[in-house]
Amino acid sequence: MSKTATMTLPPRRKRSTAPPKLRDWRAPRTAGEFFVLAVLVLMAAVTMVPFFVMITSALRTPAEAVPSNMWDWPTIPSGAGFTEAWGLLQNNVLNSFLVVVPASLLTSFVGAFNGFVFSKLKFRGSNLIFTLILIGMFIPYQAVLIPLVRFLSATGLYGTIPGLILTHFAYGIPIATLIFRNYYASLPKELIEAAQIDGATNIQVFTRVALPLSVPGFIVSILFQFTSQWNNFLFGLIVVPDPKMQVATVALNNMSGSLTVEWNVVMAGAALIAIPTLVLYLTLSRYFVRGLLAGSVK
Amino acid sequence: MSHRTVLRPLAAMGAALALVLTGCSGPSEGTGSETSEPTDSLEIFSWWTASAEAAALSALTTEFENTYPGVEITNAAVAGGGGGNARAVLQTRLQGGDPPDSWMAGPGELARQYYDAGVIQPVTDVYDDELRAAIPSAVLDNMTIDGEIYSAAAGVGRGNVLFYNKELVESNGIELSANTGMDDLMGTVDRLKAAGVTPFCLGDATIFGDQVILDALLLASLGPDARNGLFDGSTEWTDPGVAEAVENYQTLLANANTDHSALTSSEAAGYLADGKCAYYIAGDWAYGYLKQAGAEDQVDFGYIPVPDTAGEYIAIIDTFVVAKDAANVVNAKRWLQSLSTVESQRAFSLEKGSIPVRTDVPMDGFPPYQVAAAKDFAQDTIVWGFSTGQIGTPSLLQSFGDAITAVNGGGGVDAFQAAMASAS
Amino acid sequence: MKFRARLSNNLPRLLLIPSILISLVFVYGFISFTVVASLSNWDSFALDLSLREPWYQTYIELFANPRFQIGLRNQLIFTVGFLALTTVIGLVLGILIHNVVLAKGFFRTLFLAPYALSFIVTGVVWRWLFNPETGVNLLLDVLGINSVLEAIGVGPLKPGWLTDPSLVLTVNDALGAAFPPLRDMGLQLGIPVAMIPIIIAASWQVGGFAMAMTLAGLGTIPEEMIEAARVDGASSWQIYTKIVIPNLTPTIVSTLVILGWTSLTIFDLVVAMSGSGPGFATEVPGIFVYEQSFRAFRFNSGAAASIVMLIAVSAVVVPYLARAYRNQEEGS
Repeated sequence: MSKTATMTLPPRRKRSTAPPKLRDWRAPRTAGEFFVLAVLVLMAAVTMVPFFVMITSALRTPAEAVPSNMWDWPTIPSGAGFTEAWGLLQNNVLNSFLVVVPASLLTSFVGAFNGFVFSKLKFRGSNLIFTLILIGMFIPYQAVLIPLVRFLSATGLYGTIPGLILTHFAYGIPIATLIFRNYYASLPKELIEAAQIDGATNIQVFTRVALPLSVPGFIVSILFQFTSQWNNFLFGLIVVPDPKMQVATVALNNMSGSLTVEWNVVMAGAALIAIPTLVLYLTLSRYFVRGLLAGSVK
Repeated sequence: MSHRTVLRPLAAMGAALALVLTGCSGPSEGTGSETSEPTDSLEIFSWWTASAEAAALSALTTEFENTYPGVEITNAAVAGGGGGNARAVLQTRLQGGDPPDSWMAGPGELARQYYDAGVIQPVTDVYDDELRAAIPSAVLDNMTIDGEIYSAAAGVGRGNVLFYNKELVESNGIELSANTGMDDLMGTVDRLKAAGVTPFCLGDATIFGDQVILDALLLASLGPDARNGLFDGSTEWTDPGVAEAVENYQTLLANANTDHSALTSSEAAGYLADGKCAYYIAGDWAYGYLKQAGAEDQVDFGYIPVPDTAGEYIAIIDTFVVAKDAANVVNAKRWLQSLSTVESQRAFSLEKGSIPVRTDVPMDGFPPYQVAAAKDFAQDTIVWGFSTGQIGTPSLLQSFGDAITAVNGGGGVDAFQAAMASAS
Repeated sequence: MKFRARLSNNLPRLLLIPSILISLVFVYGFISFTVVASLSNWDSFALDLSLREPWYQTYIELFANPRFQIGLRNQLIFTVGFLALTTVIGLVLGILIHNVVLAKGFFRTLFLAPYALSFIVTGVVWRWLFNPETGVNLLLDVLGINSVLEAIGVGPLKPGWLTDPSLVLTVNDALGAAFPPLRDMGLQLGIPVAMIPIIIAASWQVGGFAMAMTLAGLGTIPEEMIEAARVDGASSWQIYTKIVIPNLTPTIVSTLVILGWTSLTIFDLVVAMSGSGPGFATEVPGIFVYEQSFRAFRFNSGAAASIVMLIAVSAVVVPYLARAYRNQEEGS
């Protein structure tokens, strides 16, 4: 792993992006090391409290799943909340996948390309255009609901899954472009120049040189996009109102009645919906950090 | 190739394209289906997604399916935001040219806004003579705009009920009846406090709970005519009657459970059932919550009209309208017709805890509260509910909610009156 | 041949055009619509984009609206509190995990887990946790903190959290003494007690992300620099304040921008936790826009509030970007 601030190109052999072996596990020896570990354990416990409440509520019977019981273990753990929630939500979870997987992949690819152009193929006015694209990231979504719907309806995309994909794409491109622009900024200019001297077109430079080195950047971008799109509520609610095609967050919201709520089912539903994102984070979290490491942070 | 010369006209094109598309597109004009061929589906839209309300809606759809088998009903309900999410979805669906065939509205001002926007169609042909005769004329008038009827009503709720915990009230020597006046009620507050009892139950996690209460208090202080005058300009919001109502509200607030801003209406009803407080001013949906909490009518709790409003009925009516461009017009009108039949009205109200709009529905089998309420509805002066949007614009109701929130935060009566005066 | 070479050279830049077009439509096109709406008479269900007389009236009414004023104050307090707390949490967690001797991966994943939840879910759970009767207040009793406080004579702590409409640290009087005209201002300048739980909940959710940014930033600090300083006899404290934190500055700035975006568009979390709160204690402009547009049908007012929010955000972002480009031009 490079110790300097810029990234050096590793030797051109099979480059593995697997995480480094955990060679540093050892018992704490000094008081300082104990202290660090103790503080982390304490903070971890505090961080897990809301999850504890969520899961124990999900395992209760409806009558017991009320705020006054939140600290107790469930007297008789019952999976009924989960089964009922899954039954209500499974179609919607599928809909969410249908929207978010293509949207996050598409956004990341186009963002990678844009980022490459803005960082390595600069032209006059490119900073201005980049800024203008980036401001798009900061739109309060409530402000654009009505014009969004009118536009989608005029183009025949209102109420459709592709329409929702396009919406997520449009509002995800700025962040994806930002992430990759910073990522490619740390790619040495010499690599590009070497390829250009060899006669490659700009497109070939992108596909043959930059793209293969972009895995960490893609991990960051896909995680970011997947999380924000999966958990998005407002666009899902407004762009695809048909109950058969609703995404999971919208369906979860409908499980709370207007005045009374069955908390065990709702909490179980919330836990189920969080699983895909949690799994993604679990498996890729060290790549996430490595991706940021390679320069998108600056 | 200069990029500026390519990009500038491109920019202008893109912006113009966006403006044109968003500005000019909208619900398609005048394709209101004239076909009399029934289709095989129907889409209805509401915000009844759970428990008693969903069960009541289900009762209606079951009745419809029995009469018209083969029609597939899609129930496009959206929860949350106190109906706000549903309104957002409805508004955007109408803007996007994809209206539901029939949606939940209220008679009065809300229907009028839809009428002005040209998105609903008259349903006068649903009303035959028998139906017209069975519905009180005040209700029919409220559903009529420019001579045509635009809605059909599923049930009626009441907004001016005071529920009380029998044990707490009787053990403190308090007697409540339809003749109890507001001063009498407020006079019992000290007695209850001395006995260590919280006088009022309150649940205003959403401001709706408070709007219902103040609506009833306004009626108590002003009487039906002056109160209705608030909405046609003949009564000023600076009227001393309004001030009195707000002062009563402040007394209630000062003597209610302190965690009220975290409680929903149903949780507040639970407090009453558990004996944590003595009085609960609410709509009669609270009756269902009390039963759910295990309390028994006349054993654990009782009810009277809100003091000084006996003989007056704040009516909260759940109605459906039909979209002008409904894809399934025939089925939508059948839907309105179906929910107006005697059987549907019975089934709906039994689930929801409301009473039928029709006065010719037999009330046997209904809990005693609803039997009594139906009698009252038939003979009382009907006053339209403000807190549920039956009278008054949505904009005014929003100002009402904001003004009450200011009072909740410690604001004064004068500020309330000034805010409402400038909003109307 | 020359044309083909020029085409292939310029092709990538031309391929930017779809992104530019999308941005033009979805961002600038829709903003234009919103600006037009904010100057219009549209205050009922039916669309009405006719120009209001005078055209700026909606904005004047907006800034005179006490609810909007409170929303702006709350937004400022939330933004400052959230940014500070989350950045500190991120720094602390990042540094601790960077230095811990075992289970780095376990801790990293655990602290990132809240970020995977949606704001709505977080809001509901934390609402329960801050219930004054049954939530964290119970812990104060169970853990003996309240007995200690009672022994001191300070009295048991039982905050109302989200149900408390009061403010702390109000500075109206102090400011009024210095600037007499401010004495009559209706708006109370202080920290609503009810905003504190919301700041805590938001920081809990996003703290893991700030930690990840810190870890990445820490990885770019050359080990040799730290080693050299240690050899020279610098204490840990000096190493952190003189080397680590300064080198983390770019990381911290990036984190602040992304957190700033989260904070300025906050909506789902507040609605799920408490809505506008008692006496508007937790009101934020996001809720104002939503209710004005879809509950009151006052679309012109909602649009005006959105434009104000957008301008506020741009005022933060554009200077950052200008600075970042200048640095990058100089650097690369």
